[in-house]
Amino acid sequence: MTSNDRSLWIDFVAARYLDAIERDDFDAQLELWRVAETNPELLAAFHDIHAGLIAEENEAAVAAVDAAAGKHLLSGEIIQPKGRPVTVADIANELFHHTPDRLPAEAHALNERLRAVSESLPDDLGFSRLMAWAEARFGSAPVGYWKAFYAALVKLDLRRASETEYQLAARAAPKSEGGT
Amino acid sequence: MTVAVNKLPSATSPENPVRAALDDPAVIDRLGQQAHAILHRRIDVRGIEINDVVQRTILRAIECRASFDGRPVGAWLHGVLVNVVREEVRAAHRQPAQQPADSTLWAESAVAPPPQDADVAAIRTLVEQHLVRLSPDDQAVVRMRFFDELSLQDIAVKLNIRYVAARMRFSRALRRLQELACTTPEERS
Repeated sequence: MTSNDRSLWIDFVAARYLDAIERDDFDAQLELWRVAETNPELLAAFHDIHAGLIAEENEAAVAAVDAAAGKHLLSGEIIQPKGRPVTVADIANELFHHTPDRLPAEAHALNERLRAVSESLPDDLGFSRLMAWAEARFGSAPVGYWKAFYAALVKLDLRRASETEYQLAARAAPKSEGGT
Repeated sequence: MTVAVNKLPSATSPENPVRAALDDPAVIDRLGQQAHAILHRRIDVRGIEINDVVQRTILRAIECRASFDGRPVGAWLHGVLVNVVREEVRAAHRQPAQQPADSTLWAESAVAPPPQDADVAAIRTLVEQHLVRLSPDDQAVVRMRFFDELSLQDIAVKLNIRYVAARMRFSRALRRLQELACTTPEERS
């Protein structure tokens, strides 16, 4: 077994452990803990699974608050933390809130699907390469949709760049030696 | 997470590894995380407190320490906690509770069966056969792990997510692959 195979085996058994927890399969959990007794890496992977489940619970609570705000405060937008790369979901959400005119139904359906895609976009793609990249991943859509998608990407990039510039400009200036 | 438990009389010594482990706050903290992870989404056992589960696990471990054979104690304690949760869930469902004196089940916790290695080649076959049926997000993480041979740490950096989130995403993608492998073509369509 190569080192990568061994590492894959750890990941696979950790996946089985997650499955056993989510199916309330106590016998399987017990069996897997016995396997972990002789394997510190597996033990650590199981602890990661616990931490991951707890983190998901916390994230679900935050998402529920966001969803409630989105449902009941229709004019509001959730502002995402700064410094995070733009994701496909960010752009799809921007298009959801500021929908261009005359988009066909299939474009709306695709946009709804993309609101759940957390993948980041590659850097510095022009329109043609962005469209090729996106269609290879998410399927084809009318050119008008991809133009709107690209425009939303540029808008989000500009918004984030201006936030960064503002933060740089708002930094406290270092004091000069003379104290002036 | 910090789990508050009542301190038991200490008897830390190399001859008493169970008690030594139970005196380690990090071990107790990890038991609390396990109890939280198992119980948090079960709406049928809302009355069960995580601290109670950890406390009962400690008591069980002390009761069973005579049968403990000196293996690494951490994983053994997690196994004891699984049995405690099983009892609690049975009690919550008003099913006949497992008797505390059920020595068979508790003795099983102290005996390690030979580990069964999962067949990595079989997992690769599973991936090759069903990968295209996964969602784009799942496909991306499986491709990076299997074909690009990136570690979960590298995948976390690439996707700009935390390491445990990468593990959870990969684990769930594998689970969906197995579900796909178990469905018939009629069920898929």
